[in-house]
Amino acid sequence: MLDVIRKAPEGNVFPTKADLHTPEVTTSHVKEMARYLGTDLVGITTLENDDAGHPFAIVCVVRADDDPHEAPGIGGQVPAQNGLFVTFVLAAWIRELGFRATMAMSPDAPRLAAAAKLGTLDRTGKLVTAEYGTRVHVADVIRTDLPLVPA
Amino acid sequence: MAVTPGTETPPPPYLGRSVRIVGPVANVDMNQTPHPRNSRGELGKALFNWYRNTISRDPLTRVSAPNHFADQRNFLASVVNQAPKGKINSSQVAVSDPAAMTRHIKAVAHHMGADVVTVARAHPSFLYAATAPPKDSAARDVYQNRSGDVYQGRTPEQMVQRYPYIIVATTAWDYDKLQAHRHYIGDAAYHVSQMKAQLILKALEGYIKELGYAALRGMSNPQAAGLASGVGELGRNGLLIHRKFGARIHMPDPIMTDLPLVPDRPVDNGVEDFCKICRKCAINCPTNSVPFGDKVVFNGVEKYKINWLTCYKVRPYMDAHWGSCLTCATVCPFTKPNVWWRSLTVWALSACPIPARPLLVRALKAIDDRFWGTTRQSRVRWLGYDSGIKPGEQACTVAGCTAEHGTAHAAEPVGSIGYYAPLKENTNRFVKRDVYWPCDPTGSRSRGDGRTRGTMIPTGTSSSTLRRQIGRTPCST
Repeated sequence: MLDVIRKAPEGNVFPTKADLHTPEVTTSHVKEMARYLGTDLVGITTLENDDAGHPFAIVCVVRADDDPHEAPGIGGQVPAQNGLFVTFVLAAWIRELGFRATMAMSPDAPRLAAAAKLGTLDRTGKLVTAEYGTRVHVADVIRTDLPLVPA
Repeated sequence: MAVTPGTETPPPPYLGRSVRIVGPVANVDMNQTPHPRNSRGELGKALFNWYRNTISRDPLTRVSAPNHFADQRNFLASVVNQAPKGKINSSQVAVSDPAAMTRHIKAVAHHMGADVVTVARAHPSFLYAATAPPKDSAARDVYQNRSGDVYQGRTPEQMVQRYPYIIVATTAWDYDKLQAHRHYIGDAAYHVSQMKAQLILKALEGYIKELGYAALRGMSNPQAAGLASGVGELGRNGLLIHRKFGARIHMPDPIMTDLPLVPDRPVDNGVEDFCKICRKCAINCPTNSVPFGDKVVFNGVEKYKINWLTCYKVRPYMDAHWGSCLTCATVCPFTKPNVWWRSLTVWALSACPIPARPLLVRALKAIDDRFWGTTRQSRVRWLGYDSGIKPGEQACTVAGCTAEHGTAHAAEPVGSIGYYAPLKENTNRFVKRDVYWPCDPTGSRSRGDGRTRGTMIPTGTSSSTLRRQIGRTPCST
């Protein structure tokens, strides 16, 4: 099921752009929405050379008792599922606000999370956060052209 | 014990004090329930167009509400629904201890984020009749699975023998956002948790199949299974009322399974005693759809029955204001934050001997009216939303903002009262409220009863009392 959500074709961007406030306020709204959808940490960082030319990345981090990369069972599925719920709905919401947003798994997600000041990388390239240590799962990265303020 | 397997109907189950099965119950045909009827156009053009052809003005509603999206691909529930059903694992996990398995399934569902998980023993009267889903894909509701080919020629009795348990797993919607009922903020609380519940149930369904057992959807009436498994009691507003969450829980399509489990028992929350007296939902319902009177017997079930048609019919006309009304859930005295004093109160109510309860209920109702008001009209601010702003008007919702916004943002909402569309007096002209006066109908009306009955408001009532009774803010005229 998680693959179905991840591979689902992306919806259209709403033709009318929503009436947004300043990037600072938009950033706070995006973060609040992500937290409401169930993420534990959320951060925003800039992208230098993105293929689609999106300037910002939104990184959501959920608590994970078991790492989805190592635990194939329900323990690993739940954080992945929670992360996908947040990123799918958040990306769809941004598209409905009239801006482009793409959700994708990316190998450099922990690096982007560290760049968004959610934590630091340890020697193996895993994210270490102040709140939850390494027991976190970095959800799919949302790349967007919504005007935001990076951390 | 059936003489011929699958032919004898088991005795009617005990569903708690709020609902009683008193006669033969015909299995409900899901295709005759409100949403499917509407999607076939049987409820008139206005409702049909609202249901099938409207796009919401609100970006979050377009993402989270069924049927009002601009692009279905942006709606998670429709994606989840397209996931293949999956086969049952051929190597079945042996269950030696059903109680341990019940604890395990509940732990898994809670870990996935479910707020309430219970197990009901299935009964033939809970099941929907065998009906195929509509061929027309646009008429399918993503949240309504149809029994379709699940029955495979069996009778409900045979189904219950083969799949004896129903797992009810569900989420509660957010208390703070719900306070802005009849507003997009309340919709967000409702719709987002609804999507989450659907995701959880789909994952749980897959998990049970991986254990090697069947997980059938679209089979059971969720409220019946919820009552039998003690999710709550059925209130006057037609909603299950939970011990911790009040009326703010979803009742999504539960899972029917042959996994050996231990069923839960119906609960006594004191809802039955409260609903006899309170009537807050009936007073506040903007369409007079909630009954003031006693329970009725419908399809062999004795319960409070709301008028679903009037509840449904208002929706296309309030499209610009909200998607889901939620007023009856919001004003319910059981709908409170999940904190110690509400646990204490519900405990006191359910520990109180039944004959003494009316007294306690009257006291609690008075406290509720005093502190939460006879109606809820809080002003809620969330993201860029502000329920104090009249729909169609715009105002900057950022505290302390000094930016130049132009005339479009001229409105300056003040105070802590939200804007609620003056719906009630319009409704009173068209939907007659059933007259029921619990006490003296002529005089001695105590304050806070919120009595409104069309034009029957006693003369001499001050405008502020009137406003409190009608449950709206004064309009400009």
